[in-house]
Amino acid sequence: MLRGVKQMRKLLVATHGRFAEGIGETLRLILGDSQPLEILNAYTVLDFDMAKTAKEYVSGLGEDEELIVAADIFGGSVANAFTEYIAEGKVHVVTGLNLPLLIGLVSSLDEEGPTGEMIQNAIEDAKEGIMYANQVINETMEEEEEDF
Amino acid sequence: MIKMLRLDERLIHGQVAFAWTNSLGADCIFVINDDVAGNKLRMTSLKLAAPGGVKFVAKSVDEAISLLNGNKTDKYKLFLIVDNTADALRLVKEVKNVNHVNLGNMKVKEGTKVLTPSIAVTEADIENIRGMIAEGAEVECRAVPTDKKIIAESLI
Repeated sequence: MLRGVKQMRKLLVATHGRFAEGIGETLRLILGDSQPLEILNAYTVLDFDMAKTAKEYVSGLGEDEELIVAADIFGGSVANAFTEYIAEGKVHVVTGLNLPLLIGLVSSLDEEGPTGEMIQNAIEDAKEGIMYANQVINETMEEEEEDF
Repeated sequence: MIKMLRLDERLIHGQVAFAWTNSLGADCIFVINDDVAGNKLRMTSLKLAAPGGVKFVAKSVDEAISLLNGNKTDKYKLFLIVDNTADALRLVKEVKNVNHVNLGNMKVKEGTKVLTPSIAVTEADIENIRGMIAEGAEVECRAVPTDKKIIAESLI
């Protein structure tokens, strides 16, 4: 991908079963009804073909389009089907989907700059979103209150 | 600068932290609530619920009014949050420049009238809302910024 050339980024949430649909619904509850993402609930119909489905998404991309796939788990067949296409540079696969990650990706989808960097930032933020609340709250209670 | 005053019974949660803070371009979330100001555990939980990179302050209504009328808060793009209409009305009346009130989430309780799927009000709430409108504030109902803005006056 040429730097400086504005790419259109498409976001696909792809999971085994209806996790994708569910997390999409949760996202709309939080950020509003109209969200720029597509949903793939894999293996929810009998004759589902993952490889064929991935191929359709990738071949449907326009000249200036990139596809970011947010998949449920690394090594799973859903993520694997898309990693086949990463060599071409138009497909980015992110795994370990959680709500902070999805919010981060959606919120930065239109950001300028390389897509890889944008994804790295969203991943870093999402990792921080996984926490043991008891511990974090206890530690924060010790801190000084913020003031103006 | 005060960007907006939101009324939300849940104070800070997903819609507030991720949708509103971004859309307002706020750099400080200011929770104004007597209970929170005196309850360290609630204050801590709310502070942690605020998005990273945004300042979080919680004060009682009295303290907030005097702070907002001074100049210490001037350098921030403030997102004010209260959890009831009485506190909202006090801020509209007693602080200059609180002229946009967003009604976000008010649960259905006994004796409430449902205005929108996320807003239910008592008679006392309606009086308070009328009070804010009389002070010249725009009072509108939206859960998230991309919802259609519904002016409260048209519903009460």
